Formats: sequence, C-alpha cells, structure tokens
Amino acid sequence: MVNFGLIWELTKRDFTEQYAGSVLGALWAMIWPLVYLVIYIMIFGKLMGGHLPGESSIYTYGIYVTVGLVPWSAFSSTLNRSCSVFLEKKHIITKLSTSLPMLLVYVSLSETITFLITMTIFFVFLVATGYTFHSGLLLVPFIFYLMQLFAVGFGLLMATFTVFIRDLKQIVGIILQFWFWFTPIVYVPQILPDLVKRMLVYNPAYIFVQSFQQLFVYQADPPYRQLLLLTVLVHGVLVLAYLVFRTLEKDVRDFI
Amino acid sequence: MLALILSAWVAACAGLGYGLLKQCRYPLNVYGLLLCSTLMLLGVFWMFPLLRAFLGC
Repeated sequence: MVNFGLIWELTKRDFTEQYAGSVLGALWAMIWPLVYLVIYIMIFGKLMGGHLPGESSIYTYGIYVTVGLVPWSAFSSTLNRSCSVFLEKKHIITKLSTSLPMLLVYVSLSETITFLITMTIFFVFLVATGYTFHSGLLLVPFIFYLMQLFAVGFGLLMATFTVFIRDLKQIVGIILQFWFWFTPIVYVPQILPDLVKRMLVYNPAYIFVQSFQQLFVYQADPPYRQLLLLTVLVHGVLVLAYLVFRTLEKDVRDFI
Repeated sequence: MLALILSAWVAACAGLGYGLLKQCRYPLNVYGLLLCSTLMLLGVFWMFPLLRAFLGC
C-alpha cells in the first residue's frame, strides 16, 4: 500500500537527522545553501572575474552557475541516493507493508526541500540586486518537477538493479561525474567542439539546465519543443522503471 | 478561445487527478498519476508560450 504518512515521516527525519545534535540545528539547512551561493556568485562571478560572452554584469556568470548547479545538485543527489534506498531502508521494508517505489519519493522530497531553501535565498539575492523578474519564471517549478521525475524514474531502475548488483551505486556515481562535466553548467556550450555541441541535444540534463539558464540569465523562453519531448520521455522512463520493478519485485524483497 | 481551451484543460486535469487520487488503488494509481502528470506538463509547456503571447507578458 502507498503510505503517504510514512513517506512524509521519512522525509522529515532525513532532513532533521542531518543536523541532529548540533547547536544551530536546522539553521544549518539555510547556512549551507548561503555558503554555496556566496561561492557561486561572489567567488566565481566577482573575485575570479568569470563572465558570459556579451554580458557585462558582474553577477551574470554567478547567476548562470547557480541556476545550473542548484537543480543539478538536487537531481544528482536524488539519483545517487535512490540507488541504495531499498538496501538502506530494509529494516522498514521487512517490517512494514509499503510500496517500495514510494521510498524514492522521500529521497526526492528531501532534496526538493534543500532546493527550495537554496532558491528562496537566491531569490532574495536577486531582489537585492535589482533583478527584473518576468512571467517566464513561473515555469521553474514545472521544469524542476520534470527533472526530479526523471531522477526518480532513473533512480527506480537503478535501485532495483542495485539490490542484485551492489557495485551499481559506485558506477552511477562515476557516470554522474562525467555527466556533470559533459553538461554546460559551469562553462558555456560555445566553447565545446562542434561534434560535442551537436550531441548536447541528446543530453536530457542539458535541456533542463539550459531551460533554467534561458529563464534566469537570458530572460528568454526555454526550449519548449524539447521540454515537450522530454515530458513524454521522462514519463516513459518512469513507466519502464515501474514495469521492470514490478517484474522483479518479489526477487527484490527476497534479496534485501 | 484560448481561455476556453485552458479552462477545459484545467478542468480535465483536475477531474482526472481527483478521480485517480480518490480511488488511490495500488498499482492502478501509479499509472493513473503518471498519466495525469504527463497531461499536466504537456499542457503547461504547450499552453504557456501561447498564454504569454496572448496576454502580452
């Protein structure tokens, strides 16, 4: 059965346990994103003098890096943590009758909370620097939702196979490292060789990151056509992952 | 016309979502929720540029 109470309880515990026993407690959940934003915007943008072609503002590169890195961090953490979620929560799985795929939702929710805190601080920074907001930014939650769905779908596939092949978590970690550097998050796509540039359209992470960069940095429309295709692809991945899981569910429960 | 299409889409999505959440039967609800999610996102990414152009914002 789908136990929403359990999912919410796991999300809360996952979030609070990270700072349990510390003096500042949950305040750390705000301090860390603040530190990251200072590094991205002040160090990368201002002190190191990073700038985008054709952009004169000192904050533009910092914003470019932030709107790429923050969603990517949520995506990669969700995917990476999803791989071992069945093994880590085996004490719950063996005692309670719960839907295993829903365990991935708690990982995603926990990462979404971190994303929301970081983006809230980021929006405060944007207001303080006189950033011009536009209606296109209303799409941000939908793009992030699609990105997290992709992480959950891919994560469910990996979580199912990791029960049988434990090395998969490490392999996914390595893939994520390469994936990060093959996605123009801290650099602009213009510096890439033509062949790699042409291949970027096949990188789903780039479509997501590009959408955020278009909306925040260039104040332009995201690639709607690619987002529509990605919507179908992501839900296809989810259905496929769920079918694979359903086929192997009995073995998964036996193995853990 | 656009407002009419948008209203119909919102009503369809809301009805579908409510119906699927109401029954919430495993595993039917998983496919149902995914279908609802697909329709919602397709609707948003398809209608949003039209709506922005229509409203001029």
